[in-house]
Amino acid sequence: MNDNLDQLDFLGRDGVIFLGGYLVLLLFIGVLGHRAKKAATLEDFYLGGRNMGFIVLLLTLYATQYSGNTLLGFVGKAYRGDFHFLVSVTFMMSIIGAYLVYAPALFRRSRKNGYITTGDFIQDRFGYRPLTVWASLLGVIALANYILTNLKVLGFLVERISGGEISFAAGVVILAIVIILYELLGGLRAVAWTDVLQGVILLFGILIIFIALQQHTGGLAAQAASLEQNKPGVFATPTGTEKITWASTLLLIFAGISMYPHAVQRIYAARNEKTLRRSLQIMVFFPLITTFLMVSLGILGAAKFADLTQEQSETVTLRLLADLVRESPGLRWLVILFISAIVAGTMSTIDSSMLAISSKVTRDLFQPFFPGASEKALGLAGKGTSLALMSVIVYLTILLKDSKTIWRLIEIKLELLCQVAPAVMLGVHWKRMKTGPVFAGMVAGTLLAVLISALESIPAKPLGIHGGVWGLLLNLLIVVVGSILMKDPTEDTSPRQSSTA
Amino acid sequence: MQRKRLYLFAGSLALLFLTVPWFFTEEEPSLILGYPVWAAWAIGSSLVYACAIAFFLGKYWNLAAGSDDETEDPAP
Repeated sequence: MNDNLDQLDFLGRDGVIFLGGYLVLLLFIGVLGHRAKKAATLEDFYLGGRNMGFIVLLLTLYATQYSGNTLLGFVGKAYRGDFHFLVSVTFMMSIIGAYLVYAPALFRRSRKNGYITTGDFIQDRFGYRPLTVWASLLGVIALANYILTNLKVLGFLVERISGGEISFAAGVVILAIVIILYELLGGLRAVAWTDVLQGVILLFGILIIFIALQQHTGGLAAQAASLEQNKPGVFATPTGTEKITWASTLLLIFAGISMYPHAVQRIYAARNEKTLRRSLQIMVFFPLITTFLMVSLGILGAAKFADLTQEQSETVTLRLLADLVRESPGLRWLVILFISAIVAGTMSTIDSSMLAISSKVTRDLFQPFFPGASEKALGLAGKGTSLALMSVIVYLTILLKDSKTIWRLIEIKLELLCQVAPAVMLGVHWKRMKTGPVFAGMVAGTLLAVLISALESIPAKPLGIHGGVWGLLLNLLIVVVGSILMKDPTEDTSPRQSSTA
Repeated sequence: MQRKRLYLFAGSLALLFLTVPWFFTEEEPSLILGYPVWAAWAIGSSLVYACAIAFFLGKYWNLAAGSDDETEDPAP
């Protein structure tokens, strides 16, 4: 990477000290979370005793959903995709629209039946272990991918921040250790409390930086001519296929991100329905003050910087800040704030994903084979899982630092995850839904999504529709038609007793 | 009550798909504060969608949860 970024002394010693202090604070919060432990149970460790209040729930949902990807990846995509990437504002809202469909019903069931994971609901509702395992594996793959890509962001940041003094690998290892420590100490309490801090930094960081850069550049209205010059036709209305892809993206995110296991855990962890409802009512507006601002900055970057490569485009906000700081060196603290916001957002996403993976492996994959295991033994298994998984993911992150080919498979995480949506979104409402079609649909949808994404002979988006959405449509067809056609009028469709013991 | 719930979810999904700028076709659209008019539609309709979802969450929580009484206050 050359040009203005190389001249910018990102943080200097005071910035590194600030970040070091921030990491120590996170560990301290982990200790507090450990001391606040009420019981040595999975429910206490993974769900904070199901007692999460409004502010904590809101900010942990926020910090978990918006990661460093929002500040780097989204900005880069907006730079490359221009106004089309405004779809991201709506799709982040659609996640809450998806929660409207299943969260109220799932929350009530979780209170009645003691769910800790999505797998608990699926097993309780359908009573078929292979289905639960399949759904859990899809969640684990998606989360592992999510952690890996976010660790990569952190590694590159640390290397950049320290001017190469701390290598990518060392940065990944150090931050992974901090995350695993406060998580092992305090479980969801520690994770959620650190999310409060991280959410505040993320929210205010984005707002302040956006306002500063708007004032510095004059905003899009002032840069329209320059944008047109750099990218002729940038304002053109999307074509028919592009509109279909837009709709496909909305559906993919609606069904995919809403199924993130760590988000479902937060639904379970809410103190009560009123708390959950209010948090979601506020969350639905957050994309307007987060995603929209970042997308606007990406498009602004396209007006200021022509012909950036894909990798360079993901640093557009930093480049805009570098311009600003060159004119006003006293505003270097904005860069520190921005880097801190990325670190905060990324760490909050990693710690939540890590905890969710641990709970899934323990509850959905381990406990069924050891039904007599005590809560203490399960807790140890969960912590051991976190440690082992984090070690593997850190190793893979370092190994795959520059790998591009593996990323193609990794990028299909949402296309896999959305295959769980019919089982959950329909399962909480539709009593006639049959287990066989649900399992067949999930498997068929997964295979179709993988096939379309993996085979180079098939376009990545046939007819403008994502492979995962094709899979989801097939999945739904099998579920609905299969459930209607399968005749079993005497089948008991009331929820079974939880068979996780 | 099942049907009402279906209408609620289908309606919210329909609102979501209406945020796509389906009906815009101009090659050189006019600009609003630097955003092409179809992008302004996407932003404005997203705001409407958010308001609708927030409203539905407040008014129809019990219906969405599968309760027969949609006016019942959520359990504390």
